[in-house]
Amino acid sequence: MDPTRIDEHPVLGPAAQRAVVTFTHAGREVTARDGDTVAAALWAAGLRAPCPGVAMLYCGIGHCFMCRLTVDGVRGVRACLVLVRPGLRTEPEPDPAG
Amino acid sequence: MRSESVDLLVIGAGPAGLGAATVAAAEGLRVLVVDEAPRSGGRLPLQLHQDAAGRWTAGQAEARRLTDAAMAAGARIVTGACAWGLFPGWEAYLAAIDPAEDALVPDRVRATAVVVATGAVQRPVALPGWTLPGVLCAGAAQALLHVHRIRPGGRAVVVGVDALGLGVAAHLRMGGVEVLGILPAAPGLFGAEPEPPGAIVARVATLAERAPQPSLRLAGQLVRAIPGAARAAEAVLRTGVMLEGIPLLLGRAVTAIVGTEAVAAVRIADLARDGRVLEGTEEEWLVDTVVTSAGLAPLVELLDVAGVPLVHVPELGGHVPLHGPDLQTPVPGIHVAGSATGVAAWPVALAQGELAGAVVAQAQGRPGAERRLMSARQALAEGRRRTAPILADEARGLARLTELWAGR
Repeated sequence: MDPTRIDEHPVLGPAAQRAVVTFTHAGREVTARDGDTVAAALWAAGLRAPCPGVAMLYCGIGHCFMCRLTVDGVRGVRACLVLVRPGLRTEPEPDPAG
Repeated sequence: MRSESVDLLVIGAGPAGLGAATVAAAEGLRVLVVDEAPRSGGRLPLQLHQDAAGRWTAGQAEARRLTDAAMAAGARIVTGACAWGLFPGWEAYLAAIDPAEDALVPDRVRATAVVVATGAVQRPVALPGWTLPGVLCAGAAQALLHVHRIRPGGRAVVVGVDALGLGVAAHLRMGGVEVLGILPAAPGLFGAEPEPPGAIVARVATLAERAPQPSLRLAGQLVRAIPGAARAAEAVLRTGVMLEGIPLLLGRAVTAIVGTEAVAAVRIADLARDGRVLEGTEEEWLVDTVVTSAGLAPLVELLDVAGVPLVHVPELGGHVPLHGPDLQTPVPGIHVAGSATGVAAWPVALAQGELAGAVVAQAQGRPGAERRLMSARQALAEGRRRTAPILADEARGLARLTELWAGR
């Protein structure tokens, strides 16, 4: 059981069973659930910042661009809008503040 | 370049966009809906609604129903697609959000008409430390809680005493997060004026009647019971009133978010009667998460580049596109719906979308459109009557918009 996951919710009820998906962030293996966005999966894994002191998830709806990551080699991808998939490789932006 | 042509392009797959797509597609138009998010539904899947009897329902079910209806009517929905340009003709330029989905997203869409239903964005709360990891806008917290079923943190405060702030505090608690309190933000970095505690009390007290949810009405009633001007009330403002187990503090404010690598604490100070921070009263509360709410602003960039005049109507959330009662703009072929027109509750956004879809179908000569147009106008008027507005002065804002449209 993962303590960050809400398996039972007073309004939404029990969580649907979702397949485990594994991807890598900065070379580290991250375990997510199918249907997670990359930003949500990293948050649940305790990776709240791609580098210290710089927030990743802020608005969560694609507007603030704080969650930009390099995704499969493509820079500037908003992690809150991309769903996890097996084998996905994400990296912090070379200059996250820029 | 992958290009395609449609009769109607809808930008935004929230309730407004899906409503427009369903009606237009049912009238036989070729309709394409695009949205940046990986799933359709806009902000609906984030929301939990409470009816007058106190029963909760999930926005997710409504989002699925509206998505299914649009698809059943024949509309095509492409998610994960960013519309980055809109040029006369009309031509929209799109890009895939996820590089792996590049082949699934057309680069260019030619459309006879466009409904821009881009919704609204949350305003930030610019306190010192607001960019630290662990500071979340209310919507991000709701997405984690309700879409991803992830607990945003262990211990949180909510900064922002408004309907969304009060709502998200309850949502956090339902999700198992300890919420230490709901507080206003101290006067901000970007020239935010101090809001006296008495004014905050008066503002929250209006929820006693107008809030759609029993828990928000309760907040209004509790706060109304605080005698705002009385000297005795100052102690009450500082200790707060308990709102379903969460302290609502109106005489104190968050002055800063503290941490080096991530949120570690918030700094809290007492407020003077004029809303300024009382020096020497600061203390720190240890938290790992700060959730902020400072209202919503219509998302109007695409309308701006398309040449639609923007008018400033603060009662509707800020700059809104000039538009008429049938959601038409002064720019032929460009229509609007939902919170992009001014912050709107979802049933109103849906009715606006249905009306915009009917207007487009009629303009393109569809035989059944006239009848749909009449019923959509009635449904929007009815929706506005039945739905509590998100913004307190919405009626004044709509009246102002009517004046501006008449005088264009």
